Amino acid sequence: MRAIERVRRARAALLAAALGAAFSWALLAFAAAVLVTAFGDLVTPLPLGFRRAALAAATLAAALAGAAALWRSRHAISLPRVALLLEERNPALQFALATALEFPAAPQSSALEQVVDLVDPAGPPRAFIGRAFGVPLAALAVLVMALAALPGGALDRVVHAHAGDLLARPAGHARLGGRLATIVVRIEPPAYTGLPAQALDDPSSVSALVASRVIVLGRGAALPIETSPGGLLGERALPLSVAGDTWSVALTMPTQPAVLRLTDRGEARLIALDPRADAAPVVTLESPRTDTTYAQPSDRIALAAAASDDIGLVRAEFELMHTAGSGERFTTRRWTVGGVAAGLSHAASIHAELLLDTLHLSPGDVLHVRAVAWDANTVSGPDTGASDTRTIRIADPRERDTLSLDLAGPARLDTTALSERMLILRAETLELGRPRLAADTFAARSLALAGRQDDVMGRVQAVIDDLMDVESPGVVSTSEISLLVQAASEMGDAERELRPARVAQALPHMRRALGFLMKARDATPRYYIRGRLPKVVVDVDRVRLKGTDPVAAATRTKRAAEADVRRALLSRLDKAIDRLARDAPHAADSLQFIRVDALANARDAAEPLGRAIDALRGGHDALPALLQARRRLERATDAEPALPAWQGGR
Amino acid sequence: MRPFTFATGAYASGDWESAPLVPANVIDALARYTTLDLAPAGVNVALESADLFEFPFVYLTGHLPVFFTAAERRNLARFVERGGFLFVDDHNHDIDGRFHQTMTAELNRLFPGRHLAPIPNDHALYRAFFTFADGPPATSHELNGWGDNLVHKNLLGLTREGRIDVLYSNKDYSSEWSFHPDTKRFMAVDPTKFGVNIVVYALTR
Repeated sequence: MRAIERVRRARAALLAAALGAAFSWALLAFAAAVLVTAFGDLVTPLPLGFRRAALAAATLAAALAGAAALWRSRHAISLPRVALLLEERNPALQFALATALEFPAAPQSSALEQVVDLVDPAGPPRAFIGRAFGVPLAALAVLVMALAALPGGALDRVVHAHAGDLLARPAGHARLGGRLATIVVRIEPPAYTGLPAQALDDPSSVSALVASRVIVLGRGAALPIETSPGGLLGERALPLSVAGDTWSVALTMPTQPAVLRLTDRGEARLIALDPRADAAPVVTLESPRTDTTYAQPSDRIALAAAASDDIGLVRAEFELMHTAGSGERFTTRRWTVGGVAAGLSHAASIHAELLLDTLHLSPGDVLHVRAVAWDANTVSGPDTGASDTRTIRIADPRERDTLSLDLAGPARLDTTALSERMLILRAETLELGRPRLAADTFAARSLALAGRQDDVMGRVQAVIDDLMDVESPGVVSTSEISLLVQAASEMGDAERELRPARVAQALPHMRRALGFLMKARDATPRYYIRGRLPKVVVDVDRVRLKGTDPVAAATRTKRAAEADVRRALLSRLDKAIDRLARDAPHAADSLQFIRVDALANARDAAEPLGRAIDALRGGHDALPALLQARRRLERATDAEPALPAWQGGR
Repeated sequence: MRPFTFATGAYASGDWESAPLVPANVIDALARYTTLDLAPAGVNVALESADLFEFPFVYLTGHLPVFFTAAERRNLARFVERGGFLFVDDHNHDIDGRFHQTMTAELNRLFPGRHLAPIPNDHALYRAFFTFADGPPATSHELNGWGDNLVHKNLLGLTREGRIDVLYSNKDYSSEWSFHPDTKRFMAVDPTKFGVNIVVYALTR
């Protein structure tokens, strides 16, 4: 065997030993960290997060220990170093091995190889390898024995830490009366949600979807005591199940916040049930964005909507409702377009196109468009979400004559146009008769026409002002106002020409003004005044107490003031805080009931109350959280300004 | 204090303005039978406007499907929550018509957890001023068989703490009371007396 092969073989043995030793040290570090954590958990229950972190820390410690061991053995990778080690172990080599390795092409290399063959150096001694493994393996054996000696379940709580493993924690035998001290709550959401079950260790409150199955588990069922633990939800007693040493109470999450009262002999424990309702889908109609009035039912309308849900959508579609008719007779048809199956996704978007030409719409018809979506709730639903509704109207020229419109505007426009036309006729007549008239007479008549033109312009301006001041909802046509403004401007120009008797120059302005007036009158839609009801004023003084029918008015009784729920909660909270110093356990129970009521009526205060209850249970200071809850209850009791008072009977 | 003003609610969808003479008629009846301090004319108030909160009583009517906008919905819910009284009358008189379907759906959506329920015919509403021993007075549309040929026995309402805050009628009072107040002198019985009860109930309970 050549010298280099001997050294390589020795290096391989050394490297194997180093790797084995590193692995042993890593195992040792891991086991030590787990043992420390498990022991600590035996002394006092460690939180889930801490235990998970401890496992991660153990893994890290193992990696560090292994790396340190490898670092210490790093020289085993160098052939000269290994050769020197062999030289050290075999002095008879007289550095022949190291020289042969260093100068393989030297002339005397064969002589060196012979020396090495003659000495035949042994590899690394067993003692050397044994020492590398021995220490960590021995320590590891001790630790493994210690781990094996841990009570059942202790190791699992560190290695397989998960929510709900509190019952697996060894606690010797549950003390009599202490069976409510340690509980685990398992929550199984309704099947339609597809959500996984979850568990809570020792909770003071349980928040879950409505209709979730809630199972409260505890230990000590096998203890020979007279009374078994039991549950009470409101007035309803809950059946108890026993499996081995574990008892359980199962219930369905109610729709309203409630208190679950667990009792065991003289002891009781309250758990707040905080139901979360499956929210209805949220639907937004993205197109069309506004209500619209069409002069003609001929357009292409793009429909687009987005829907989302907290659990999952099943279907989304556009709903259209077409109403036709007038007076007291209306017909409505409803249909849907653009429906999509959302496949339990959290969000969906739908698109469709509406061709008004194909819908057989008539003037006066109304089309309502909205998007609707359904979620997968099979328990209390399905919940339906609907977007805002857009109203698409088809203009009906006849509506200007109905009572629903203020006739004054169009009528004034009509009479104004008529007046302007008459003025034009008179101006044309005047201009034609100019050769026959004296200059003074012509000028006087032109000045009179200017005065009339000014009057007509004033009426147009009044219509503009009315339109600009429309208070009623509806479509205000800015283009129509613009036409009227142009008409008024032309009338002003005409008036200025008429004053100095420049009738021929005034006539083009007057004709253009009439053109603008006619355009404004015929412009569609004419809904700028839709909804301005005729103002019927009642002569109250004339009819006051003139009714002929006999009155047998009943005696009025004062209505009791509505209860202020938040103030009542505040009062109860104050009493509970007062009681805290004297009787903490009962005060904590009171706080639990207050919290459940707050969940229903003052949710902002429920969260700090929950923290206060947890603090009390953990033996910490609950006062800061209680004061925060109090501030929230106090702040929200500020009254809003009331509706205006009425004077009442005299 | 301001005099009582009859407010008609204007909403974006439908034909809220379909009964323009009702306000004057109810005001006339209130003047004839009560001593309430009254504004001589009604006002139209957009439900999406903050002006809504200026009036303790709002009347809604229409024939067409009703879909409130988000702003209208928000304002209406707040209006009722703050003590306002909403009187909704279906200007149609059919069973489960579109106005009825959509308006009741909107009201149920506005007030989750509360549902329109029939008001018993011996309710204080029917004794608030005049006594209507048989409950809501029938309208001529019901009695002459027009439409669904059915007399609706009860009004519907949302009640809170014993008080009706949303009154819903299928009886088409909007048609029954749609005439000029001066016409009352030719009538044997004033049909708007029930309007007095509604307003007095709204203001005193």
